[in-house]
Amino acid sequence: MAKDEFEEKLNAKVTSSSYEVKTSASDVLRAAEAAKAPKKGFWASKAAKGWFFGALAAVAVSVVVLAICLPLAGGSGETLGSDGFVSVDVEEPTEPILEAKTGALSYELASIMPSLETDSSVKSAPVLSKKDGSLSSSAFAATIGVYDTMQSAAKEALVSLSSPDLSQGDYLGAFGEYPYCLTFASGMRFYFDLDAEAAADSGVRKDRAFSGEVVTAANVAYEASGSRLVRATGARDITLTVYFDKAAGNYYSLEQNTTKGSFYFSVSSYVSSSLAYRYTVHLVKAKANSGSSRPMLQLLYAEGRGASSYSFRVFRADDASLSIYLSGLSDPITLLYSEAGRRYSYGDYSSTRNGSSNN
Amino acid sequence: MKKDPNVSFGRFYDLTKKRTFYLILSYVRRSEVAEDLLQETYVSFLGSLDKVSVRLNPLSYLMTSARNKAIDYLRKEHQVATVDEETLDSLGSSDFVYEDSTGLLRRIASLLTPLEFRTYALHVLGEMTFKEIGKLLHRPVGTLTYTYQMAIAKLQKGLTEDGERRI
Repeated sequence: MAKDEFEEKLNAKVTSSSYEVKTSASDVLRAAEAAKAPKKGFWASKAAKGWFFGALAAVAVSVVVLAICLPLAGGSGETLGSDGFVSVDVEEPTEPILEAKTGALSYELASIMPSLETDSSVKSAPVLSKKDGSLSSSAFAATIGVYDTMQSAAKEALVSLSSPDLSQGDYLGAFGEYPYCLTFASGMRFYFDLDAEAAADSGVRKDRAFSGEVVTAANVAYEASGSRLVRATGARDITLTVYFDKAAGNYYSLEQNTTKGSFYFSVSSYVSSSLAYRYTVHLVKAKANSGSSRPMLQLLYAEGRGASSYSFRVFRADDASLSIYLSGLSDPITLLYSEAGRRYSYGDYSSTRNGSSNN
Repeated sequence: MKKDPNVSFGRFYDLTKKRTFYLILSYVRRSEVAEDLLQETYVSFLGSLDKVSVRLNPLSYLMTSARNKAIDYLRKEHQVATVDEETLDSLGSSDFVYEDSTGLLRRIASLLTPLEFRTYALHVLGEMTFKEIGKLLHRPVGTLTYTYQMAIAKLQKGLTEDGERRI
């Protein structure tokens, strides 16, 4: 008998002799009536069902957690000099120095998530004292206001890179149901699903799309969607949009493009569909005169109308603090992370930022 | 259905009960357990209607919920805290308890691997497309098509060795 003929006859016989489901719709409705007890809330339900699947690491690697290894060796290391910002040579990391602890998207999400719990308003322009290369009090306040918008990107890269947990379960969120959850150390979560219909593999590029929601530690949910493109050359693009208010056109847009740097991404904040501000994050190796190198984060911030911009270079000073160099400023601003929050200090000035965004 | 579950639930249930039942059965391999979990799945579904947003496919939600209940059952039955996809199928009972009129499906289940049987049952008895199955099981459509063809080839060999009269 030919295979097709066999298949047809087999399936017909299996179907005709199949088991009749005994449970009826009225049985279900009666059971539903009987079960009308207080329902578990979303978070309780999630906690009960969200068991970890170790084997999903492979899924994570192929879908979300990208294998970009970062040069995170660093520490206080070499002194670059008081004019370090101006003279330092930089280069792209060409090889992984340490084992990758997290992937690019995980890092980027961790970087922008604290901003979701702070304000996203447009920052004011810097007021630098040009005469002696120092900051005035108002310029200090304005500068750390800008830097604090981006601080988590530097902290994640230089101080406390944490690897989020990926788990699989039955997650019912404010905007849908999702099979995957990335949980960050701060308590924030990213629930997502892959769009099988949008997946494509042409041989020279692989496209994937995902959608989900970002949920802050305070359980505020923001709808999110994104895509990932991997070219045959190895270059990757990631986009992720997190909506504060979709109807009003208020959202964050995150983009990674490895052709601009193996660890480079930008975050744009839109208000009423107009660009409010944008910053880029670029992790590089800074070379000292001795020839050694250590990681350095370059942060560029610009207001939407291009009226003002800031350029920072950030190094890890020790396990809990960063040195922040601002373009044109001879001495760095020091940022200390502690239980009490983030303490910025510069000469006689200091300012502490508290709250759950201390990530 | 959100407005009055009783009015349209019967229709929805009739349209979806087979695929839901066979999905659960393909994991737990016992029809009476599958019946219980089927009812639990729909009761949960009705209880969650207010949480299912308009843009969410209710069938997809239902099927994912059914699959999770089946896996949860296996997890509790075998007293394991976590299972991964690799070990999941090994948790199903080796005996397939299913009362079809000819015993044919029991024989089919004994000849196929868990994934082959699941693919076969969902496609033939659950009337699901490979695309729908792929989305549910997180497997590529090509893999499932191949799995199904392998299953048919195995069945042709296995069942005709038993005697072609069975078909």
